[in-house]
Amino acid sequence: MTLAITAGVALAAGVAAAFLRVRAPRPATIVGFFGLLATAAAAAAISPDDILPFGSVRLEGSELVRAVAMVWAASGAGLVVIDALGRGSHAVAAPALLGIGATVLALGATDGEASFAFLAAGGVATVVLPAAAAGRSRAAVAWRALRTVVIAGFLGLGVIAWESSPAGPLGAGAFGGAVDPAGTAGIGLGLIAVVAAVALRTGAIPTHVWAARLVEAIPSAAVPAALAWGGAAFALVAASWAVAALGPEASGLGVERGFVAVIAGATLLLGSAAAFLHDDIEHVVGYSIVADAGIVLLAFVALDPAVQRPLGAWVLAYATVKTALAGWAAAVRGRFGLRRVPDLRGWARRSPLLAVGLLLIIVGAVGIPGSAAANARARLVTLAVDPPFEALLLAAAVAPIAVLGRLLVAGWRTSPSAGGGIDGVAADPGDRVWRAQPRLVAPALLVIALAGLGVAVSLGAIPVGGGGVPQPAAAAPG
Amino acid sequence: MTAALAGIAAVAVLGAVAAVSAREARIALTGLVIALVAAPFVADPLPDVRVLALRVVGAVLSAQLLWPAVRGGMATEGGSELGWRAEVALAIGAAVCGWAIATTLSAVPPGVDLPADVVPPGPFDQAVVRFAAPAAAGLAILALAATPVLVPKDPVRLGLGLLLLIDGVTLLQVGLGGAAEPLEQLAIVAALVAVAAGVAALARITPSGEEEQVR
Repeated sequence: MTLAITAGVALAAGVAAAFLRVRAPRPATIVGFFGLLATAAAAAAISPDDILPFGSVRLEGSELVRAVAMVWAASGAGLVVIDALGRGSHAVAAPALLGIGATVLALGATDGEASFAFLAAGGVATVVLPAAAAGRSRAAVAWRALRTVVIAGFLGLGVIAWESSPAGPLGAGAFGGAVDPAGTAGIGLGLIAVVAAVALRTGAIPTHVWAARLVEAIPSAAVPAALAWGGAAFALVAASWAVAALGPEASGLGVERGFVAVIAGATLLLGSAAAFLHDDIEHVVGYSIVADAGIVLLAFVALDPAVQRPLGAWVLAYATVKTALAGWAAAVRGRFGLRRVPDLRGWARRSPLLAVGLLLIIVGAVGIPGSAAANARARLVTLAVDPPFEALLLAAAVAPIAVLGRLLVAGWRTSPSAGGGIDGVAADPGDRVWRAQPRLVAPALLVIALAGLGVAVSLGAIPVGGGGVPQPAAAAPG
Repeated sequence: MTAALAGIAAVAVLGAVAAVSAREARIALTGLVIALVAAPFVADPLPDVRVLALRVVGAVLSAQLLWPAVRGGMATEGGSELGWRAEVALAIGAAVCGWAIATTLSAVPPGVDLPADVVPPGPFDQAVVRFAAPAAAGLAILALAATPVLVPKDPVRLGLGLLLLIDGVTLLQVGLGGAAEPLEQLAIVAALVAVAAGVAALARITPSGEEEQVR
């Protein structure tokens, strides 16, 4: 029941904040902020023994759901304050709450089809609400994002329905027969289709265009709910189903798994390269989230039950760390009014607190050797690919040093023309005015708090249990 | 029951044809309501009455959410660029394919060799129709939804297409494995309402005269 209460609190507060946002943005933010705190508090009570039956399907609590709901709701509350003190879009709380509510239901449901439908509903809220608040110029981007999220959700639902039905390729087991070659091809097609759905939802390459456009169209603080959390939850559900249902046939899917490995590798490497090359900090945030989705896709290459635990740990860690990065981008944008890296030269000199926050984010993103996130990433790579590609993908783990280090280096540079950066940075009074202007410095402190939470999750301070999403319905036929 | 099931499936498909091909957006919206309301009844056995009520309320609420966008002139005049005759032909073709696929799969499950003396059921046997009717309707509605989803003329048509896409997938699911569980029905209604609300919200901010930007 605690799981339903958590989802109910999040959804009710999210709907209230969404309606309030139209006429009263500040009260909407206040309602949303306290809604997120209430969601985090309710999530703390979720127990693995908590089971709520709905016919033959159940909503089951787990350590993973508890960790996801608690950490993301707490992070969301921080983002809401950063946005309110900075740009003041007041369009962060409602999508975060609705996204978390849908995620709690999706990760708790023992039926993958219901999970995908919940995630589609939540995904619509997370992409539409911030885009609608951003104004008329963002409408086209929002339409494309809406279409992508719905197609991804119902493609996933359709694949599970077909594969697991008595008429589908996995249905042979239900009739006591062996899977014939045509059935194996059907199973392979199902793997490709479910990976396509995950790639669409996470913005993996080559389906990244909608995600890249979306991150520049919506407030930075709303990006985690739209892309990182939604994509991560979607991948968790899809991977749990794929491992349970398609895993037993994995040996016959060499070509399909090889294709998925190429997509995963391209997403990881090209996403990191794009994040490094782009000058827009919002693009840097977006592409670094996309790059992390490449690691998630490796679970579909392995199709081994051993991926469940590292996948859960990795998904929670990367989404939380990238939430902190989005918070940093929102704080920088709100404070300096700039978004291009060359224009932001000298930002770290003006705000050492923001620099500390970014340093912690780099630590969380790269991962301390031996920490839970670093081990999870290494385990996913090892399970999915063989040498020498294994070494290449493991080496890509240090890409955040280059991607985020570039932002830090730009922060310590001085502008030759303005002696301390261009106008937006040069005009900043610095962190020393925290007594006189606490609104200016408070977002930097919140970024440090978010980054600290990300590092704590990376270190494994918050348990994720088995890491998977319960899928007894899918597991039965195989 | 067999004829009734096929009849309701036909009503759902006709509603979808009207939704994608009607020149007037109001008629298209009426067609959408018919398709969405009829869909949960294309199942044998029927779901629980509370589930049916939930789906009907969800369908009506979705259409109600789209109504302000229609009234506000966000839908351009003119229906499908293919024309209603082509849409009907497309729907019939897809429905025949869906019926044939469901008939084949329900007669001979994959991986199973029927003994020579066993006669497989015909395409209109009751045991086959309970799977074939929703599968045919689902495939037909998915085929009809493709055009407004992929090349929408305006925001309202895209919304109609996305709602039909959800409707088609759920019908196809019933054809493949029986009616969805209550929790999934709740999730489907949540998705329908969320999509309709999202379309309504975006229609408010889409500049008038720039409806083509949804492409």
